[in-house]
Order: sequence, then C-alpha cells, then structure tokens
Amino acid sequence: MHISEGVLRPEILAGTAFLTAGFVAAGLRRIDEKEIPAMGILSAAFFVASLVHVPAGPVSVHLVLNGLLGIILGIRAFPSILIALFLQALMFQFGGFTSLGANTLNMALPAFVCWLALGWAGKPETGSKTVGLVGFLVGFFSVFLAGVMVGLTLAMNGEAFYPAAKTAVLAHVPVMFIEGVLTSSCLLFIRQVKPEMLAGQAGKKSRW
Amino acid sequence: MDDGYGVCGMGGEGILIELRGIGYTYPGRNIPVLDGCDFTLYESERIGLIGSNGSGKTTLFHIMMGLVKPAVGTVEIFGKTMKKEKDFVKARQRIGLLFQDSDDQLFCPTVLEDVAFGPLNMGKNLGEARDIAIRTLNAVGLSGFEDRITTKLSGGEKRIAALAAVLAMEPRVLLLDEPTTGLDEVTKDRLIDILIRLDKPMIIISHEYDFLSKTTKILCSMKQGRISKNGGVHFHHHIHAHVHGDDPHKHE
Amino acid sequence: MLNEKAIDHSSLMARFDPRLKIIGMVLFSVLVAVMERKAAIGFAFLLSITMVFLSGLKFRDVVKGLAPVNSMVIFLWFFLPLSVNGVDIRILGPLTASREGIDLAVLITLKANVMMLMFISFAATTNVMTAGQALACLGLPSKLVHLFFFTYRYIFVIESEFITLRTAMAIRGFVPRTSVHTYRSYAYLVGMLLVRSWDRAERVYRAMICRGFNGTFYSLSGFAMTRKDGVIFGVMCLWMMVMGYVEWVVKAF
Repeated sequence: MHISEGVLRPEILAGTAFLTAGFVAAGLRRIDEKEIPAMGILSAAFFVASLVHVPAGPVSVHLVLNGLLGIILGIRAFPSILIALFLQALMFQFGGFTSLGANTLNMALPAFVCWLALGWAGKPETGSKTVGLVGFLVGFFSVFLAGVMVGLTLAMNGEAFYPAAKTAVLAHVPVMFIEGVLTSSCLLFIRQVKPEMLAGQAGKKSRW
Repeated sequence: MDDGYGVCGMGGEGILIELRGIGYTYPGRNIPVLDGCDFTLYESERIGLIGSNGSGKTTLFHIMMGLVKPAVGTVEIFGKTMKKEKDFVKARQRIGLLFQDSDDQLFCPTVLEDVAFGPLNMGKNLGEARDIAIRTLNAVGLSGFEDRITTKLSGGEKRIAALAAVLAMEPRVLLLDEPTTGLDEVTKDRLIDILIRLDKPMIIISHEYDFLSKTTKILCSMKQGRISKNGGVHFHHHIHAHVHGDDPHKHE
Repeated sequence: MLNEKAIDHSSLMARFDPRLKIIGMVLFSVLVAVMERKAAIGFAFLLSITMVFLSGLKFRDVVKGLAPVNSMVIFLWFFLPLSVNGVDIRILGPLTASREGIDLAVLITLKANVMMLMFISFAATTNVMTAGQALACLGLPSKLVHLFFFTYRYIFVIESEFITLRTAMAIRGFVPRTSVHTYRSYAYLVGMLLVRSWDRAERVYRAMICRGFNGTFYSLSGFAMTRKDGVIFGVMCLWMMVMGYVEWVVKAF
C-alpha cells in the first residue's frame, strides 16, 4: 500500500526519509559499479512483477514480492525498491514525492529483515523442503511486516489515525498468504532452474 | 580498385584470430560443447559459420572476446596470446561483436548516446565521440535517428543501430552473431548492403545460406565441438585478391 | 501494456529546465507538506494549477493522475470524521461526525491534491530519462542514477517478455482463479521472468564490456539554462514566499 502525499506529518516524513537515505547509502556501498546493469534489470523485473494482479476471491490483488527481492539482493533491496517506487510515482502517480522515504522504508525494511533472518536458505546445500518452507515464511512475513510498518506510520500520525491504521494492517492479511504460497514456489523454481541467483547473496559475493 | 582484400597472409603474418585446441563444457553438463577446436581467421577473410542450435557457435565468439574462459586451449589475437582479462580489454576494442538480441546491446536512452558509448570508453572526448557517432549513423543509413529513443525503434532499426554502435569503435574484425534473426527481407537486404561495403574481415554466424553467400566467401561448419573449413559449401575457392568486393555478385 | 508517455514539447513546462523544475517541485512539496492552514494551501493550489495549465495537459489526464492519491484520501475519509474527538455535528439521521475530524480530512484532501497537481505537472512534462539526467546534475549519487537508467530501460523489455509468457499460458488454457494451481503458475511465471532477466543482465554486461565499459559512464548531453527558465523559477519562488507568509505570518484560517 502506497501512502500518498499530504497524509503524514512533516516530522514522520523527515524521519523516514532520513532512515531510508541511510539504508540506501549502505546498500549502494555494497553495489559495485559493474553490477549496476544486473541490479537494474532485476529491479525492472520486480517493477513489472509487482504490476501482476492475481485473483483473491472476489477481488484481485497485485503482487508485492519485496521478500523475494530481499532474499536475492539483501540490503541492496533498498536502492532497488527506492528506484522502483520513484518510477511508479513518475509513471503512474502512485504515492508521490514526499512520501517516497516512508514508502521505501515500509517495503524495504521487511525485505531486509527477512534476508537477515532467512537469507541462509539460499545456500545450494539447503534441502528443497526447507527452501519451500522458508519461501513461504519470507513471502508471508515480508508482507505482514510491510503491513505493520504502514500501520505504524499511520498510527504515528496521531490517535485519530488508529482505526485507519488497523484496517490497513488487516487489508494485508489475504495478501500475506498469497505471497507466502507464491514466494515459496518461486524460490523453489529459482533453486531448480538458476541456483546461482540465490547463492550470490547467501554466499559472500554475487557473480558480478 | 583496392578494396583491402589484396593481402592474404598464409603463415604467421596476417593472422587475426587463432584458436588452438579449445575445449569448453557448459556448467552443469557432461558433454563438452567445444572439444579440441582449432580455428584461424586471416586478414581479409570473410567467413560464414553454420552449425546446429547449441553447437557452441556463440560460445566460440565469446571465447574469442574473452567473455568466456575455455577449459583448455589458447586464444591468440593479432599475434598475441591472450592470458589475462587485461589482454582482452585491449583486444576487445579492435574486435566488434554484434549480439544476437539487439536489446542486450542497446541500453542508452538515445541512439546517438548508444553509438557514442564505445568511442567514449576508448577515451575519445565528447566532441569526437559525437562526430564519430553521427558519421557512423550516416554510413549505415540511420541519419536523422540521433535523438530517437532506443526502446522505440523497430526490430530492424535496432539491429542496424546496434551494428552502428559496434562499427563506431572502428574495429579491425567483425563478429556477427545471427545478424538476420527476426529481420524482414528489406532490412536483410540493407544489412547485406552495409556488410558488403564494409572493408573488414569478419565471421558471421547464421543459419541462412543465402545471406552467407552474399556476405561471406568461405563457409565453415561446426560439428561435434570442432570447426571444419572444408566441411561445407565453398562459395568461393580462393580467399585472396577479390576485386569485386564492392558489388554483390555470384559465383555459380 | 506499459506505455511511455508522449511528452508534448510545445508547452512552457516541457521546455522549462528540468533541473529547476525538480528543485521547484521539491521545494513546493516540502513546503506544502509542513503547511497546516487552508488559506496558505489555497495559495499553493493557485501555483500548482497554474503549472498544470502551463503543461498543456488534457483535463482527463489530470483527473487520471489524481486518482491514485485520492483512493487513499477516500480511505481516510471513512475513518477520520469519526475517530477525531470534538464537536459532533449531525450528518444523516443518527450518524454524527466531529467537526475537527472533518477538518482534518479536508486538510489532507487539499494537501494531497495540491501536491499531486504539482507532481503531475512535473512528471507529465519531463521525459523519465531527462529526469534521471537532471537528478544526476543535482548531485544524486552516480550509482543510484545508473540504477535508475537501467531499471527504466529494461522495464519495457521485461514487460513484453511477461506478456509473451502470459499469452503462452493463456493459449494452453490457463484461467486465473483463486487456487493453489493459479498461484503456483504465477510463481513460475515470475520465476521465469527473473531467471530470464538474470540471463539478460549477463548478456547486457558482456555487450557493454565488448564496447570497452570499465565501470565509468560518460554523458553526451548537457542542459542549458536560459533567462526564461530563471524567470519561471523566480516567479515560483516568489509565490512560495507568499505561501509561507500566509501560513506563518498572517496565520489566516
């Protein structure tokens, strides 16, 4: 969920922008100039994938995939998500400019946390059952935490926003399960077809 | 008319690219795709390379460019044995490789910037790079395309623009990897026209005999990880002095 | 299907120096973000609507651009009038809402739309690539700028691959439903998209190495600022000072 312009109080905007800038800088430091084409193409793939709508009962939801991005990119997910969100703002007017910091933090921090907790599963020796389970947890918790972050950001805006914040968290619940199932299958697919994509992050250094 | 085809070095001189005993196996496979492969490209030669899908033609090009490291064998370029990445960095500036998919090659916003990318990397200043790019675009018939967005070009325009980007580096040798894939007849003819007028030795990978017969003089085929120069049809029996280089013709 | 927006280069905003346009947009957005008085936001609205007018946009496109922001605004309207304590006013039958809650919702609605109007006038008149170059000129880290370029460049390539894959699935009778089969199929679709992109990334990098890439990018283009750019920017700044004056000095409404 993109928080739009004009909603958050200035001190929240400034705080989240400051944190995001720090994480993005840390992420950029871990990217070698020579890796940038690869990073950009992966970011583009995620941008496109997040436009995919899947049916969820009577409505359809779009994929988030921040967890999967986190597992592949680690802390480098911050610059990647920042760019994707900025492009979504430019091309579709999602979110906006001043809320870019908050939205990036809400999406990328859960991705990074999932990588910290579960990134080890990308190692080639991990069994397929474990990868499947980890995939579900990554998809589930990255969206759950993103929902909690959106809720918290809104709640920090003042007591008046509590009901809206709670609803925003609840709205993420069906998406959590879908993302869990999806990320699980997707991780298994990548493990089978292109294991080096995962080994790059779980190991020390990626191929490029 | 001296069209540059006069020199035909046999022996040590005039050898541009020489591969000896190259062996390569794709990661995760058991059977090597290249197995004791020898190949020589002489000055002024234009070679067409055919072979079934997955026979290792593209890998061969990538080995010549140092993009893929062979398991065994030596690569010599312009008489120098290539050992390290550093050796290839220099060699790459003088060998132009056209990729199969032009979307892999064109990445700058505008055509002009993309064509100027190589010259800029070679240390040319902005003005020179611009001039070279404009001149090259004119030469391939893309004048007026300078400010066009690369993503918005048609498939044929993309291919010609990618070729211009390669030619802008003024390479001594051209390697073209299936340059006709996905092109219509008109663009194919345009490409043939450009290639015939080019005064450079080249190797062209293609599945189209007709195209190869118009652009190259020797046909090589790839089988079981090796290249045989006499294995296929000869469009032409001699590989030296060819005075008709500028106009397309047939030798029946 | 994604489409690169065609930029109408004849409008005043389209010819406005992109660097100044970005600085103006950023200053304006930050200023409105901290404002709390409706009168001041009214002045801000005058500036942003003028900018939209100078962008030569169709009314329909402006409304379309405002839609995403307002979906969030509408979402908040469901809660804020009820969740803020204050003087209750009757709306309909037994339904009441607090005056303060409505005030807050109105304020957010105004701010969101005023800021978005300015953003639209920027986004709709600036080529994405130009925006990236302008950001580079303004000192954004070069790695981030290059990441931006590559991401944007390959969005369209990957999207067309996505459409090809999805069509291939549809041809074999795939109909999306709420089922595990659907989600697994989508997972494979996404996985395939990522794997193909990974391979493409390698090919692109190889193609760049072949053309002598060594980690440094050089740019051909530069921007030229004219006196007209200075005038537009100056007027924007003056007007923003008026906005600040109304907000913090006059303290009206």
